Amino acid sequence: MNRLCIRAVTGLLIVLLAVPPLSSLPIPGTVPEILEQLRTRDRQVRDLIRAGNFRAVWVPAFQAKDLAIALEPRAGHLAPRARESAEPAIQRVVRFAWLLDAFGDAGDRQQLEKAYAAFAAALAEVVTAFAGAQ
Amino acid sequence: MARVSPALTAAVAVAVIALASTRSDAHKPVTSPYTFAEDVLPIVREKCGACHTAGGVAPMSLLTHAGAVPWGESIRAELMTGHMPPWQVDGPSWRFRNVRGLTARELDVLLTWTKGGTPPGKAGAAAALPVDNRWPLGAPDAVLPMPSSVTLPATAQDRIEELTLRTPFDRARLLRAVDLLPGTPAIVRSATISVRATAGPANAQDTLALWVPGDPPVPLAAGAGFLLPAGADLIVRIRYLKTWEYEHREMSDRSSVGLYFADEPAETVRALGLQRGTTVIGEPVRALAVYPDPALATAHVRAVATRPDGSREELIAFRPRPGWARRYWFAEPVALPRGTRIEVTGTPDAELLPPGALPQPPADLSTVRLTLDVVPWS
Repeated sequence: MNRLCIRAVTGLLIVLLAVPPLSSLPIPGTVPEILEQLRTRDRQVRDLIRAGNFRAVWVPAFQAKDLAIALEPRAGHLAPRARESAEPAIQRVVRFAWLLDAFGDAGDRQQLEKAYAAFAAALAEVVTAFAGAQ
Repeated sequence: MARVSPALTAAVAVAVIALASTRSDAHKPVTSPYTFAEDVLPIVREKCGACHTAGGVAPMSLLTHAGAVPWGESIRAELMTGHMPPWQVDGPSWRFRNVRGLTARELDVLLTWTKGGTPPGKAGAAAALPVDNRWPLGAPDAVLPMPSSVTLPATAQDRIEELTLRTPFDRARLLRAVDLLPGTPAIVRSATISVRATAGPANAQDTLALWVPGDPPVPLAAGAGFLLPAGADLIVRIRYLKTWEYEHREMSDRSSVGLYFADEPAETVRALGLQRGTTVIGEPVRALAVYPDPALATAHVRAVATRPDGSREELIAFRPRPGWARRYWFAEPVALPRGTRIEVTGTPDAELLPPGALPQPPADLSTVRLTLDVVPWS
């Protein structure tokens, strides 16, 4: 019985340790998949703020910034006008993701909502710039 | 009562700890995958090292792990607010010759490192690099030292000094660049070098250089030059500022101005002032650079040109920072035909300040003024 329990717990541990940290996720290989993931993270951040779950906002926000950073090297292939908007927008996604984290820690709804508005606008610019290139 | 084996107890305890550390508290891990030596130092050396180095004008060196770690919170606040680096533009940096902002990845590396335990990395403590106090463009064609040293007594923290330099040239010269070499880099915070115009064409650009540390001069391309009339005086206005390291110490400086002559013939660079609102271009010009009124700060400023053919081009969108007025050189000259309308807007910069960030002074929109450096375009 004990041996069985030990095996079960060991198996659980293996599964747990194999799970990556919540903030990281595999980056999809194609731009459309990345854009779809970005839209999802945007909705998740919005829903967490609406639900008052401020301390969890950082998870989808950081996932979105990692996805946006993955797009940064690809911005050079965009048409000039799309590139002009994409590069600074990606930078803003990163900056506002970190601000969402900071305001989430502080439990500051008002600042979180302002940061989310800027974050969502930057995400929308990134999506528009890259979606037009598909 | 059934006996529970020690092995099972230990296994369950480990599982509980693992659960608690990975899933139950949805909060960030505290270990940065980025280290100072491998990831942070290459970024700060390139993007911050001109000021944030031993003997530099910034209040701390970021080029050693020991120097950077105590400032982690401040670094994070400055980066999150966008206060540093001090000359980021809202658009892409490659539209300008001298804007070296952080990429998104670089920004994330620095923020992750400051939040994630500031690990040193394998290289350990690097040697502190002294400030690189040389002429970035090489030896000037003429060097004009300040007539005498300026001394900040131990009781003074901040001072603006205006000095006059007589130029020794018996004929007008055209200059491709003007630079300042601080005598004591640790206290020279900014400088404006202008020419006291006595002759020359109307609107000849008299602001020859807006010097801030870490912003090497950009020479004008062939075919253009700043006019320096024969025997003209240069007005050098230097702002001195002591950081906490030099408080209560007497400090002296004797800086020098370097002049780089342009190949002649060349067009004289002229100043085209832009107020908030719309300015109509009277003669066709090519714009080479743009700079804000030195008093302009904490506003979001945007200048957009609309040509007579309907084409629109954003000249610049940025948030000038107090004390960091400098020229933004266009990567390519911007053609502005006669009749082009340039609209300049300025709005108060509604900052989002994370805990620990220092607010900027309130915006004074009456100072929303820009100047274009232009040459005739035919």
